[in-house]
Amino acid sequence: MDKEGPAQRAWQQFWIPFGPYGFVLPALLLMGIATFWPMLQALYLSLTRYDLLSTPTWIGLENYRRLLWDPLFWKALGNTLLYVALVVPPLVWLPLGLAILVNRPWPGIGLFRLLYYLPVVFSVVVAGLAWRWLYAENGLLNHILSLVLGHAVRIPWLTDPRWALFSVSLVTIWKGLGYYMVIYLAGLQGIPTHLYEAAALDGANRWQQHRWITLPLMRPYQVLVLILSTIAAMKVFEEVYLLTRGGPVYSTLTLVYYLYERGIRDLEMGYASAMGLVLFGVVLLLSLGAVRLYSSREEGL
Amino acid sequence: MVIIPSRRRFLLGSAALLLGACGARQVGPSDGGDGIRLRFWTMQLKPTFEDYLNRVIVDFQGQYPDTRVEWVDVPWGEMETKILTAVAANTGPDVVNLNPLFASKLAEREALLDLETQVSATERAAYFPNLWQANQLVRAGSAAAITFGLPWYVASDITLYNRALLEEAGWDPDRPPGTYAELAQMAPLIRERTGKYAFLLTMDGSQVLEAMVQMGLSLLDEEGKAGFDNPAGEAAFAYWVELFQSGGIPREVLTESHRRTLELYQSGELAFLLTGPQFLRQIQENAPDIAAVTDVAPQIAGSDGRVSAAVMNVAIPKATLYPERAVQLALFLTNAQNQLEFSQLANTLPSTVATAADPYFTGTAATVLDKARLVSAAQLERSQVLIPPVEGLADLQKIIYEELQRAMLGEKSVQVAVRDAAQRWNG
Repeated sequence: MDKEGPAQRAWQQFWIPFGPYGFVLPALLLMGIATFWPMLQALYLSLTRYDLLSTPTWIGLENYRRLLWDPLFWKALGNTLLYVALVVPPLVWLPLGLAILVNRPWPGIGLFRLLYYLPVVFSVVVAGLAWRWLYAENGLLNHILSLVLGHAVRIPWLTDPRWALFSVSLVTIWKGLGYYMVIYLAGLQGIPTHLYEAAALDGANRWQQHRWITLPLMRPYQVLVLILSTIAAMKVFEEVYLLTRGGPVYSTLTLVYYLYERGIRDLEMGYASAMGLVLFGVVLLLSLGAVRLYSSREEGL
Repeated sequence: MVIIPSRRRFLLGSAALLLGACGARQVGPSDGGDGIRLRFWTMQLKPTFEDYLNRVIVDFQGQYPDTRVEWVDVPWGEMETKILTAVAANTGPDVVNLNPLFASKLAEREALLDLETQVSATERAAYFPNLWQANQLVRAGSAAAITFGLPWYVASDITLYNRALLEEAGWDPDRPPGTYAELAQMAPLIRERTGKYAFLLTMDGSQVLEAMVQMGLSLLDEEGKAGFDNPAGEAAFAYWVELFQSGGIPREVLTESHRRTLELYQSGELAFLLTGPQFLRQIQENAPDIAAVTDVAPQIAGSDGRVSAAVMNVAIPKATLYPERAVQLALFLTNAQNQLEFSQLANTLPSTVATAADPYFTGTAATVLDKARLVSAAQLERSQVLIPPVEGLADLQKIIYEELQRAMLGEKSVQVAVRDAAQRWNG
């Protein structure tokens, strides 16, 4: 064995406590550049007036004050929260039901899984264009309704402010079902079968097995889906952009779409950054709320 | 003994590389030391016009042997974001093809060269004066206009119409409506007798606003205040509200884009398509049955007969290292000879007087395509950009459309909507 010199020992004493951080450093650097630095920049920009082409001008909290008095911001926030309320509950419960159904070893079940998952692999653009056709005044949906009801039906899916947000949310639900179903399916397949066997021996019927085994064990997955779908719904942009562009008269204006309009179209980067940070705060609060809700239920078990 | 220092070197090296990569200025072709390199951006001209533009570039380089032109084609939808970020990062092109509405946004921020001082009076006289004005921005509180681009190719909308639907509606297909008032008279007939719609203009661009200007609405007064809070403005609002509420136009007017209008016309759902002649070829390819019954007529106009034109331009970002050569390239691209060739290839109209006088635009029509070209070329001289670039135009358009939509949806009366729009702009 080599004898170690004092310089080397000193270096090792330094290296041992800090060395492991060296392994994290490359990833940390990348995260810093791609994630944290833009966040800090957004924070800085939100305190400036900036149009991309001129140097940012420091205006302190002016953008946030302006947000408070901007009716469109409140409209966008209200629409976004309404959208979350429309989209998240179905996305938490429907895929769970579907996953339970397609978790059976029935013949041909693989085809059903595929069919439900198919919308996930469509690009949002393709889905958006297809749904625009379906929703058209003389489109397939109104045609089918007319056939079923026996008289001409013309539901203004996207052109009536009372219907538009609901119609947009339907597309999101359709597209998200398969994705969340797969998450639940993974969870269901992880439940040990002996639990069901033991319950069956104890005389539990199928419903009781669901109620007391499946549902409690799926709760962590539900929280995951709740958080994922809430964050996705808060950030909704593509569906709005492709189907309604925020209209008619702002009835589908969501936070991210408004942020895009202000930032990219009107070149108000500072204002858009302020909005982005508020969005970040709201998403954080909702996610923490979801986790807290889950924790309290766990404690109550 | 070797491992630790080399690991340290590796980590330090990685960090240095990453930081170096972040801090490095992107070296653009303009920085080349061996002569002048011009970066030239166009909007979605590849691959259809690739041969043509390559030839023009070679010709230009032949005239200026010390110059190399690097052509980059940017998809239509991405140009706005790309040019903004490139100009902001000082990596933008030296010459760029834009439309006046967007170019004016850059001009408002003084990011484009003012060509008024760069182009001689003789060179300027080559272009139609009305189209030259399309690239002039009048800034609030300033009398002098900034000329932010040279006009390039032009589209002056014409009326494409479905003769079969007109016949079915009992309207003489040889005498299609020429004004918006006549079009409104026809709309209920088409609806009742064919179950289709007469027309659809959309609010994704400025088409509805242009039509309102043709109907007599005045956007701004001399002081830059709203010029439409008057009976003419109310009449223009009332036109759309009435058509919408009576079911004379599809409800999709609120949310759809021009592309949808084209789709509806191609599927036989619309009797009229108010668009550029270049779309005729597309209809022939996509819907030959509809193309077979399609005829063309001059642009639908208002009572004063003004017709609108859409102009594409060539602008020069202020940051260019070679403003003189960039101007020369812009002039070369838009000269009469090059424009003639381009118009023939693209089925568009030229912005130069000499090109428009060519027999190609003044001859006789053998096909409906020829007729479309001749009809649109004939209206070129009286065409104008009905909504000239002014500061804050995008906001004004947004306000008018929003208030108009509220009136259409019955949330407000026409009078209240017009008054609110004016107050919002003036406020």
